[in-house]
Amino acid sequence: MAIDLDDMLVKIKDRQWALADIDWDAPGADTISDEFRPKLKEFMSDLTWIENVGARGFAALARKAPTPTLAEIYGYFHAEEQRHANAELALMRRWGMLDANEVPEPNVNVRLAIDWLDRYSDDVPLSVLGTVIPMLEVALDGALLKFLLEEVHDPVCHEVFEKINNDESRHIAVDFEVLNMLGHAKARKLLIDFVGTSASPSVILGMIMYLPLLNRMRNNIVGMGFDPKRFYASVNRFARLGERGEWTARVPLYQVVKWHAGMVVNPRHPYHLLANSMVWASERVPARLLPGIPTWVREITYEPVSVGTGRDVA
Amino acid sequence: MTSVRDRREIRGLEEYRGRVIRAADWDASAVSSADHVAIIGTSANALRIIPELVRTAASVKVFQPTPTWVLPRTEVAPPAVARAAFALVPAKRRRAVVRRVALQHLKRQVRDPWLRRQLTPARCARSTPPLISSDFYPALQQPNCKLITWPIATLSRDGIRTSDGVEHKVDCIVLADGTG
Repeated sequence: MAIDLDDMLVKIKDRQWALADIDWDAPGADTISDEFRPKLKEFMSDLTWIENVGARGFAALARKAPTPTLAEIYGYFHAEEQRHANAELALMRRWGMLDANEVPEPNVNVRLAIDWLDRYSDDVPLSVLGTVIPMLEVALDGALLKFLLEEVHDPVCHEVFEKINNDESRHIAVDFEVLNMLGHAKARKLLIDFVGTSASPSVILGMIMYLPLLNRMRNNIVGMGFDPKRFYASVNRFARLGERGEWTARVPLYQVVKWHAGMVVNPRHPYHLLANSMVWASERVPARLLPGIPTWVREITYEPVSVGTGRDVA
Repeated sequence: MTSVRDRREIRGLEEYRGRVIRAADWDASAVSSADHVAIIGTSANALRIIPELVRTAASVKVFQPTPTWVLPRTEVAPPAVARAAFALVPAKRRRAVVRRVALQHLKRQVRDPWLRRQLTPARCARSTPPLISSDFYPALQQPNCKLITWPIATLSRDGIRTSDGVEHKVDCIVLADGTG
């Protein structure tokens, strides 16, 4: 069912929330056991950085949006993903996982993803980001949030993730509306776009970055003792939501991403040999060879209230 | 007093308890060195006020809804002949020349790629006349100044809440979005 983007924009503006709306000192922080804390820290750190990756993706989409309304919506989504990252960092701080001013380090695959987005995302066509971002949102964001709510019993965590989930449901609705719009183009245009973009070095590099990122998350989830079937169900949701769109199936890249998702959810598929080898190889990239971190990464904060610029001279 | 358009576009303006100054009524003495100030908008008035504010206030946060091309201010005005000749150039080509000069100006004055991106108008953006300032970009990069491009969610009692979930506490807000 088509959604009215103007109505959606109004809804987005009406449903804004802030870190200051949450009582970060409310009881419940001690529900995290000492044994679980280190694992949860790693998990939350990955989640925080994935929100950041999503944020940068939406920033790129805002530049490519075909209408001012969609551009404005993507502008809000960019900020909302940042808000999720900020809120998740604030939860980590609440649970005593961060030292003073500590911001957790992104893992190597996230760092490579950040670098790719920073270098190429502004030049990649809408059809590429408009297909891959919904996948990341349903598979990573969706799956990770569900796992968290099952394992963590802190009421503040639940309050935060209820707000995040509400935002995400709007993101996913718009994501799939845009995918449907993309599929409405003439077949010839769809094919030319697909061949043109698939052959570009930036998209090939993007694939090399995307495959281990997805598998690393899957491996981390399994490593924490979660049932990977929940992750697979989230990945499958991409195809399920895509099938609801009248024209989505005509987007060639959607079919490729769906086909890839089919391999990801089959643990016996030989694809995992390749993807896990890429995870293994990426972990062995020497730190000095890793690209520098762009300045937008420093925007992340757990402070609900900001006074001054944080770098004022006395 | 604020215009009807301000009230419609900036949510919660009536909630805010600090001082609100319209750019058109700007008076440098309204801000002291102890003040944390926010300025909303990057209109021609804003570009005139920001460098002055950065020199005076404790901190300045510039809330930019959409970026605009900024041309450098030249010491000497171009000769009348050159201006007349430029006026004869087709509008589309004239815009391309302005864009190129503005982009060079931005590249020369702003080194950080992300800040540069934040200050670059989108290709599909509605074309607005370029502004002129040689002090705006250097002022933005002063330690006590910060450009904020997150959408404004609402004004609160103490400041401005942006959609990234952060509340920016300020003593004074200057409305300079072209309506004030």
